[in-house]
Amino acid sequence: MRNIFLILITLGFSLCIPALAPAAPQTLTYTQKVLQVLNRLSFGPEPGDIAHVRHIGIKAYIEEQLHPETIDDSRCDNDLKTIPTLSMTAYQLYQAYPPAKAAALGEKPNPDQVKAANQHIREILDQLTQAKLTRILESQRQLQEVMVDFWFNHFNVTFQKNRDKWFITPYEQDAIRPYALGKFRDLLGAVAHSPAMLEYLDNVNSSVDARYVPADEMDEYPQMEKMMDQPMSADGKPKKSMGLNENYARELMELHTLGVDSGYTQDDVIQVARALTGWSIQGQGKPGQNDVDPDQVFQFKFRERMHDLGPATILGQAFDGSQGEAEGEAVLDLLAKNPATAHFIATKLCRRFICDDPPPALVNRVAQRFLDSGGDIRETLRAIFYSKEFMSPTYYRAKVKTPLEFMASALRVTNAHVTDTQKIAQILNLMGEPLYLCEPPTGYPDDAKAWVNSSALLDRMNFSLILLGNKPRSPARVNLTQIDPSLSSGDDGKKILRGFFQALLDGQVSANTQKVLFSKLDDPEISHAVLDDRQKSFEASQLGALVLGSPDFQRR
Amino acid sequence: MRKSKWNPKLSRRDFLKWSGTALAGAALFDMPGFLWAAAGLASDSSKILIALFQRGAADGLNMIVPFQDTYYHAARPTIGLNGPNLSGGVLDLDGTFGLHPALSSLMPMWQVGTFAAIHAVGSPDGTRSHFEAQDNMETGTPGVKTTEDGWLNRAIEASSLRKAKSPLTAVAISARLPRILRGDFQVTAFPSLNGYRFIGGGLEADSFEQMYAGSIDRLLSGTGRETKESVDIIQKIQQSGSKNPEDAGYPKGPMGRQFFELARIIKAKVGLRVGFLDVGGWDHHANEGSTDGLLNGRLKELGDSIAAFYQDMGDRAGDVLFTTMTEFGRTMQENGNRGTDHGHAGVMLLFGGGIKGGKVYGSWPGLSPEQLFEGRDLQVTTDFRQVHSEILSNHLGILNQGEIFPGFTPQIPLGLWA
Repeated sequence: MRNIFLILITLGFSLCIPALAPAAPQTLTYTQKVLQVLNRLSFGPEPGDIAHVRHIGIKAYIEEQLHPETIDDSRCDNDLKTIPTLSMTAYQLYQAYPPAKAAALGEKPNPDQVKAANQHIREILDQLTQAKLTRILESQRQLQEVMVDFWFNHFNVTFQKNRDKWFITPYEQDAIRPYALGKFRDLLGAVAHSPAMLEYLDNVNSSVDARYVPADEMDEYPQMEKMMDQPMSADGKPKKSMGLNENYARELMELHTLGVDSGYTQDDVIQVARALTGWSIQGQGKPGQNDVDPDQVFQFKFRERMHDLGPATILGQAFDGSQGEAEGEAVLDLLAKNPATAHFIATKLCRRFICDDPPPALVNRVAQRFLDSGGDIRETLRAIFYSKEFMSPTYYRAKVKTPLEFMASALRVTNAHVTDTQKIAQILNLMGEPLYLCEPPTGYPDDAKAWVNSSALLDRMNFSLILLGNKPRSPARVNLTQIDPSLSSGDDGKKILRGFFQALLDGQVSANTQKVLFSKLDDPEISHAVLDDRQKSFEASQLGALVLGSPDFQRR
Repeated sequence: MRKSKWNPKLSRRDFLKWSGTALAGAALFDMPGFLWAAAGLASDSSKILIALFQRGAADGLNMIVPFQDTYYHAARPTIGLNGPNLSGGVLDLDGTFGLHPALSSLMPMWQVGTFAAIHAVGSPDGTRSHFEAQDNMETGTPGVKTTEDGWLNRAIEASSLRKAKSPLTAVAISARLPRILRGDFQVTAFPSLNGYRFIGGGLEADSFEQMYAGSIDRLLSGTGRETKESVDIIQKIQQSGSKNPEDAGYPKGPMGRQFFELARIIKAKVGLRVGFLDVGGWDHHANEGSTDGLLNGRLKELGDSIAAFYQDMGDRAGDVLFTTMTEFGRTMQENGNRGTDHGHAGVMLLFGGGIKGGKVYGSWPGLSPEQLFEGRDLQVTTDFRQVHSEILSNHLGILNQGEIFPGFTPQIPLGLWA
């Protein structure tokens, strides 16, 4: 014991030598550790969070967050109850927010009907946004919300794609949320069966393709014959077609599991697509002709007649083609347990929780934990949170906030009361991160280089001024003195500024920001001093906004 | 590619101070170009390069259609476009290729020779991943994943443009700075002119500038540096003329607005030399259609926007070269859902800039099974860097391109400027 202590002292001492240069400190202070945990596991500290972590301890906080079911969240749950669409099924949403053609009763809807229907349908998005912000701002289960956000982005779909406007709410509720800290294979399976993903990546109509069926087996697929004699459009082309669609199969491997350049080939894409033919969505049917139980409408449906029955070799494994839906399940099994998947998921998680370019040694350890635990997300996160890198000064505040992270942390730290979630959605849209509207399947980037540019930083400063100034345009109301009585306007500008440094940044302020802002206190524009009246009066909201807009608040 | 550095460019800072004074007088935009020309900062003859990225992989075979090719029609029974004399047919370009009818507003430019196409163009890297192929196109180093900066930024750095004094020398109309313009040269990016302003007064603007410029946070300090000055200029631009794209003949919608706002900056003569537009919505795996699907609507918006843009440029049109790019083309064979999947070679459209238009450039590889890349996609016969290389040398006079496209040896010129 004594020896170890001695070694540690010597080690500490030897590490001190290069510290003669202005190097980073060797360890974080306790306050910094608390902040690091809160900035990574939550959408940013709100008043009281730091005291809570200090009270129960960092480890207990991490464990609590890893087990959200142990955290009382009744306040948030009650607020969510006021959002009616959140608990509706896709078909209920469709019926409550029908498309224009339904309202036009068989006629072609006129432009006014289309506009009215689209505006009405937009309420689904508004309520979804409201629910997300309610959870981000109010839920005590912050890590769960961080992970729901992470996985939704990983398995991105967009409200704008065809019927996804009705599918996206149950997608987040039923396919993403329950598995956010669970088993990756369960999550992957729920997504693969979700109407939202099948619609978004076009698997819904992907079917056995004549190109991949030997001529002597064509009679197994009578529906192909039927396609041959169908009505033609004005320019002499058939109006419908059937066959393979590679979109989902490719992104399933490239973006959801293995990652790009992990060794799969174009042939693998085709074979996986063939295995997933028939993974589709139950339609509404036709009353009297083809009645469908309303509970089944817009749910997953395996369409046997669209499924390719031929044998295939997928990622080196042979399938005889007789398994039907189970063949797709077996492909998901193969993908989920592939080491490339572990590495890809570990890299993305480390990027979210450590830094933009996570050290390979850490990624390897985390990937190993993913594999060893059978793709257990909670265990994988544990490997990150208890790594030495997690509390290393090298990665302290290593992340620049995305627009959503900036917005969320600003609203949380000021204890803002949101009055208009649509305005928040509009601002995020201008900042380049509209919620539930990311078009490409890659989702939004999670690295600073993608997000940092002059207009992005300007937008953040402007938002801070609107928010803290309680301007009419602000989407929320802020009561600064409720956070800290010292944050009120008055004649001692330095005291107010120091109060903000503490309240908004927990005292972690760079020398330059301090220098610039303290120097501004002499500016009549901020001191509001006039020549014949030397009495200075500083407006707290203005000073606070400059702190929220500072470089220091852009990192987490 | 280059060693990272940031040089406080004194001359540029001087310019910024100067421009502040000039703008305070508000005379700048009443006397277009006068002050700028007098100061030798920008002149009417400055060449301008505008690039547009069709994100999602646009279907080149349905934009510049090989309508004589029987393989084309056989592979696309529901989404293939008819020949020129049939219902919904293409507009004949040269007897071999036809223009998608949704692009009809570009036909006058073809006829006067200011519009050209390069077919079967793409990357030597065979990836069919959107983001990987986009990275290849934007870094200019296909297959090399370690390149951080974009080739268009390196092109500016490798030319006299790096000494350009306007903070709006290079502008991306985009909420995020696209990879092609990332690098040592400071590029301004914003999604719209209107939002690019400071709320509050000079105090907020000054504090912002000083907090970011003086920050030891290298990433954040670089970008905050010239914001204040570029905002001043943009807001001056916003004070004159109509803010409605449709008043100037642009189509309704976000794409028309992007073109319109870029045109406003160019017409204000504030030193813009490189512009970039990001346009999504080209990934048509389903319901791409022929003249009745999603591609038709997208092309109509694109064609009408380009036509309006050149109309708007007036006598400057010859100085402005506009080029499209996309990460790869799409499968020759349509898929099961009246769409196309990820393919290989695509098409680039070029306008203005003194090119010899009215011609489809590049060598046509053919569409018979043995002529296809990996048995399914249009082959690449022109490396995308070849086109950019010719644009850089002929239009912007950038001849030293070793650092722009390292490892690439330009081939015999396509003849766009012959």
